[in-house]
Amino acid sequence: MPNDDAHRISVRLDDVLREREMTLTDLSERVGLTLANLSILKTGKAKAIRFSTLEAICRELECQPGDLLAYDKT
Amino acid sequence: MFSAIITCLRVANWLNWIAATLLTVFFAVLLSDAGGLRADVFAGFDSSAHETVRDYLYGILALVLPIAVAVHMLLVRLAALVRDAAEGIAFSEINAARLRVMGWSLLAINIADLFYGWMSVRASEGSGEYFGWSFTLTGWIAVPLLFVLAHVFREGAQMREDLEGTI
Repeated sequence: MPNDDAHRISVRLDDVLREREMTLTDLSERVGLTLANLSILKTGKAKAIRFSTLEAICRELECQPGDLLAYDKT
Repeated sequence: MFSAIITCLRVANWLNWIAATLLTVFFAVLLSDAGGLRADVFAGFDSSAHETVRDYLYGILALVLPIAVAVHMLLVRLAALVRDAAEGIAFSEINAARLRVMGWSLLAINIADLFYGWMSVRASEGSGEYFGWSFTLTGWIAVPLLFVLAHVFREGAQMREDLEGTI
């Protein structure tokens, strides 16, 4: 089992938001998540993400899950 | 309801220490023969059984404090566990650790009970009088139960932590 502290999945929400010229506050209002939870997700401190959350974010940002998440090999 | 249980557990712990103190004082007085108490007690036995009865009394005296400490450790942790359950934070690493300590405490109490049983049988054989004791499985079943519960609580704590980190 991989070490939880060494996150190999990185969240690229910040990059996608910048491309869409959208703020985290705007996104939180659109997807119905609290700003605090989205901030946890953005900073890579979340342990897991629900499909429903991923779906809502992809819907509002018009992107694919792969645009938001990346696997770091190093 | 929870606060009533916590109060009962605290009262039980106070009673535990009061009983332990009274028993220690009683057996210390008895064995030191203050006021001729030992002579009065020993008068009921044959002179050949006096040594056996004296050993039995010393054995009980030696058991009082360790059992009181074990009961204290068990009751204090149980009260803390009930308090956390009332606050809805039962599944935590600290409660898993509390359950493990309770398991070890109960194991110590059971071993002390076995030792007491061995002393009683020995005293009964040596004196011809019946020193009451009977073996019971209840405490022995509760020991593994507490260790299993500790494991369940640790798993529960992990699951809760994961759930809290799920967005």
